[in-house]
Amino acid sequence: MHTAGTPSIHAIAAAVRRGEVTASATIAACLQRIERSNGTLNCFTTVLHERALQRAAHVDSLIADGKDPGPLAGVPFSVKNLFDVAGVITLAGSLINQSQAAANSDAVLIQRLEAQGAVLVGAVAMGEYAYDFTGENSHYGACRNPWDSDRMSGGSSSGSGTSVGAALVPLSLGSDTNGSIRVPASLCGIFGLKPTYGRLPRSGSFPFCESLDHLGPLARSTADLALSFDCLQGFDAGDHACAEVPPLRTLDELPKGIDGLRLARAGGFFDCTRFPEAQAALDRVCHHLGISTTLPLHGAAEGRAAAYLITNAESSALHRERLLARVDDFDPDTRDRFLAGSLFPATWYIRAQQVRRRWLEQMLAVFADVDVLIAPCTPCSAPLLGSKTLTINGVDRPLRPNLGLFTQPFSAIGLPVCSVPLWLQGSALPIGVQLVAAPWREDLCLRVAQQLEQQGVATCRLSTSYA
Amino acid sequence: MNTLHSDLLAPGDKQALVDSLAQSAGMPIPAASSAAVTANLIVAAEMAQLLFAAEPAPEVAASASIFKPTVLPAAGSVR
Repeated sequence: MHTAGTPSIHAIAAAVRRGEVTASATIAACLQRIERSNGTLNCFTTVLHERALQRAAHVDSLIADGKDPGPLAGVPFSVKNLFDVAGVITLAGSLINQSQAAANSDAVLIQRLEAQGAVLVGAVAMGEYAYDFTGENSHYGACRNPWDSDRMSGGSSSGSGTSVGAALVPLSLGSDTNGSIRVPASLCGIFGLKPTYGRLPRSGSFPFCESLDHLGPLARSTADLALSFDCLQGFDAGDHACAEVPPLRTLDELPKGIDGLRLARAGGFFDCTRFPEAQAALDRVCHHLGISTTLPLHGAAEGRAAAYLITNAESSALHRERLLARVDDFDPDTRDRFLAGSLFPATWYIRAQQVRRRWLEQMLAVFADVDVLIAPCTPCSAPLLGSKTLTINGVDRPLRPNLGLFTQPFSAIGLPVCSVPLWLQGSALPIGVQLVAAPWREDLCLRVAQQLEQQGVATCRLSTSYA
Repeated sequence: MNTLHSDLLAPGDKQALVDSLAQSAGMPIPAASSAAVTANLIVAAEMAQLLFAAEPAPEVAASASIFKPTVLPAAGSVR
């Protein structure tokens, strides 16, 4: 089930629960890995040495007392620094938030993982206020790709992608508004899950775009993703968008494989023939899954455009007071987008919401006949740091918004998506493929991911440079 | 506004339009950001143009000025 040699969640928790290794020793080793590698990777912004070791000692004491510490016993994890961590300032990748008070308590999702025995070891880098697909940040420097430190990690959950991709931790929590879990998962070569909008509570996290924000896990295998996702679920009244739906036990569903599932390839807007790496990855997945049906998915381009405008409008409104008071303290790349979003007509936003609604209805109709759609994730593998443009149809377009070209249409309407990593023959860099299902059917995405992993198509490699 | 990107507006006119929008929104644009803000607004205009070219179904246009997916609830606050 796991790549040989990979420090998986399952393996760590099993060893700790059996008493073969202590949580304290596991966390101490993790902290050493971070200490060794963070200078190169620049992914941790806060390392919680004392707290993590105290928490690990608590897990060990539970085991010593014959109590069950939970299925994540001794598993270290990181969180994007927009999650509240008690005693730590919630930076959200910004300079401006440094003047805020430290958080009083942990975000709900952190509490849930630690209640199952996991141990938070630190907060990790992100693009400023999550408006980013690159992992670059003018205040804190670029978060580096674990496979080539001259390349982008992807964003905005850049530190989550790098900390898991470099195997510093087996699990991280990120956020995804337009692709910010899936893009770094693709560029760093790991598995990422953006659940259905409303599935996981955002309570205790710094928002970006209210009607599009999702939180979710990044991990090194499908089984690890499923286990952590199962531990994260449940209603919380602190998030108005959190749905009161029964938890889905996805880990139990994985053995079902893809028997009986109706699979199709996303075409039309998602035709990636102009992006050779994305095309090759999609071809490979579809070949191994025996997919011969391609659907045009009319409305995707408009759905993506709607997401673009809604994000720009809502996030600019969120940051209006900060823009007025401290405009020079923003990262120039995000500042200019927020400023632009402050200026455009309301009719654009209203129209975007109307088109978004129609796109949702179009996709719900598609899912009457299909269980899981296969789509490209990023147009390319990790670009070099500092790259500014991406060539689309022979025209150089801004890289920053277009790395999420293929992820935006699905988050626009809250669909669950799993990104799986592929290594193409002869390539030194990974690239992801998206598995997309109907609302609330994360289990179906994960079943297909598991199948691809068992076939050896989707693989999370272990970087010997950092592990 | 959808013609912001078009040749109908000379570069100076585009800048005047952006300045006017910024003034009405009470949002000063630093000189160093002026060109980038205009460029970002042009990309947004292109997105808007795509949306206005796509005709939503009448019942959707009437009911969806605010996004309320049927699968989602709404009450409370995030933080």
